[in-house]
Amino acid sequence: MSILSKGIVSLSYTLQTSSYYQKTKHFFYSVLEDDSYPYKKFFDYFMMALILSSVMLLIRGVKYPLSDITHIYNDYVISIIFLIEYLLRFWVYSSVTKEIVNQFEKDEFLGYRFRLFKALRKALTYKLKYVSSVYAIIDLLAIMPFFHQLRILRLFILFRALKIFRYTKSFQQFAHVFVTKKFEFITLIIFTSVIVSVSAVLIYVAESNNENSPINTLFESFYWSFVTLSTVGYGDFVPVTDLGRTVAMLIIISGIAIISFMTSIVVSAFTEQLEGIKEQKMITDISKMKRFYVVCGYSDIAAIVCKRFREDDISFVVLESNPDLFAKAVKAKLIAVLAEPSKRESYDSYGIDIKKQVLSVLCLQDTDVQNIYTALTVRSIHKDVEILSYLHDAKNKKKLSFAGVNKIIYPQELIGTLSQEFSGKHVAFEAINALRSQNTDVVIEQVLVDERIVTLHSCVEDLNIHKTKLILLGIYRNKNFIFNPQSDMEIKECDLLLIIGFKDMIKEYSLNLHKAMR
Amino acid sequence: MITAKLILIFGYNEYAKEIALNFKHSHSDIYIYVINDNEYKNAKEDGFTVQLVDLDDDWTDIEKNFDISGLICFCSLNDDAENVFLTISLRSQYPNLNIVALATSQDSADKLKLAGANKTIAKLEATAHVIVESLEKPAVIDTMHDILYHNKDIRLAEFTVSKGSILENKRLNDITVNKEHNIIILAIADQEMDAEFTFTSAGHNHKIDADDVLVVIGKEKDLKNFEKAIK
Repeated sequence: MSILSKGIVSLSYTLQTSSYYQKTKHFFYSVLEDDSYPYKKFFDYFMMALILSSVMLLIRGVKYPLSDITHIYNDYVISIIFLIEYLLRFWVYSSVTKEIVNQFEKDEFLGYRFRLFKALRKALTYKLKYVSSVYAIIDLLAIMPFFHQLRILRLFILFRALKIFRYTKSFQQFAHVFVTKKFEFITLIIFTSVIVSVSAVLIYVAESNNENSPINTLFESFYWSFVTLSTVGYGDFVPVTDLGRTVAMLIIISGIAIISFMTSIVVSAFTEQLEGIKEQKMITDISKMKRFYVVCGYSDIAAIVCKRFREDDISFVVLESNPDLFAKAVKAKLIAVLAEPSKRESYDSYGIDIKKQVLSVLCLQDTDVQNIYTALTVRSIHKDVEILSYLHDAKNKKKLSFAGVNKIIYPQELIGTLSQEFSGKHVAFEAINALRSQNTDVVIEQVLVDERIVTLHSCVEDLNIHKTKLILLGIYRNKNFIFNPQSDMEIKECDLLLIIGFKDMIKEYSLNLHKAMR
Repeated sequence: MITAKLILIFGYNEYAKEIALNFKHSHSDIYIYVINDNEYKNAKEDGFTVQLVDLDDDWTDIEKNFDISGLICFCSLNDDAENVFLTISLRSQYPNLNIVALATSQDSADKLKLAGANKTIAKLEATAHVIVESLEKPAVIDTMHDILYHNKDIRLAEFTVSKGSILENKRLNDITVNKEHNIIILAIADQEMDAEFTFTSAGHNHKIDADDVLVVIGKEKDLKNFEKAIK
């Protein structure tokens, strides 16, 4: 292996294994290309602002002279930013070092001499693929006004307007819709071209030698033909001969047919793509959600649970395979996807990361069989995620436990227990029942003691709850309840304070716990 | 505190069965009235005193067989419409009967309330509520359950303020006897205000009168000492 090859391989390995280099590259990739990266949108907004300001300056510059500063801003600042962006995109599009390392390892494995040029050719092919992409060409043209000595290139500033497509998803989706109907559009273009050409030649033959006719050149014939075919008909050029007028009648009919054809293509393309666009938006929305519940099935009970979640501002996603029930969930304006909850692909295809994003999976389908199947699927994806399931028939309780369900809700048992509370005129039970109900102002809430609270407050006394109208019922620690704790009792991280009071007051108190005492 | 001695359950489905089982330990007199043979057979097999009845009955025999003042009726028929019909029939016959009715949804529960039920349980809403609470506030659910069903030595109690009690005519904020006995006063039911209870954490500095009912939480022995202390 030559010294050059050795040096390149060594450098490639260094860069490939350098966490700083990889992190930096990944960061720029995320900012430029990864739609799920939360800060990408800020970069996009910034670029759009640059583009708009640039185009506005171009428009103003048509009639009014621009100051030197605006010239510098428009010709240098913006262009340099665009150039940096172009180079960064070029850099993150593919990895040259990776290609070199792969080729080196492959050649080593096969016992061949390291083929540096093969690796470079491969790497270059990828880079060329980027350079020749429509977006990259537009990007490059948008940088052109930088060379402001070439006056004509100033028009290239308009490419900056085209660049805006890159940062707006709806434009991309719009373009995608047209791409899906490529064949129909090509057919239409060919058909239109033939009609325009034939009619232009005919009108030229019929009109050009007539002194009274305004159509004298072939260009004017094409212009007239196109304007008439599009059904716009400015009226600046009109045929005067009988033959010319006959051609006009035919071309008008063809024009109506072409416009109808084009409208139908666009409408059908959008109709076909609408579901896909909605689905894509749903995937993006879900990927942006941090922690949420997954509700499997949109049964009657699930509908009420979702309603409660929504009232309490709790994030959730509904997975329903029945189109009718799915439609009901969509009508209720929930984040719902038409997918089978018992299939692994449903979670993968919608980008639901059970480990990172899901708080709990709620199996609320209409039968125990479905709930068990779903629970097993979820358990197979992640062994620790909490699963709650509705139990329809008591005899299936064991099966649900066996499937890995952590919490089983058997309504009959629940109602049986609740009924005890109604066994007489028991004020105490009524009070507790009211506390647990969502319909009263006074509630009982749990407040988590986090690291910050522990840093700021060492014992119950420090919590200053006695200065408020709130009641500290007790502390829930390691699944044990410490009732009405003494004021000198130490508080620990992960303790749960059970507090009774107005919901808003508890919320405010909880926020205040995180503030240092003055 | 008036606790029903007799439990009469209408219908014998899974809900009714669970209600019956829950009262089995505390109430020896549980009666089941059913409207079909199948439920009759099931209730009989489970060892309950069961009687086959007709919904069109005028229910006069309830008065003959039971003491209305100590009776609580659970209307747990499968069909919401039948449950409403049963509730309205019972209420028209017995204005003071304590009726608890089960409904599928809140909508049906509202109808049962109009039909005269003292309490209603909307099965779907109640279940959904427990699902959400158990996910969002598991510690609260656990603790409340333990307090309500005496799984720990902490329990709920209610004490009526007697005439001449040390609490009489005092403001809620001024009393310290609860703190001395490690007791939390949760709510107060004011007799002057139709026994409507208000939570102490609602912030009103309530004036305690005789016959007011205090709802308190505390340990068994502290509650006993507190009861003695306020007399």
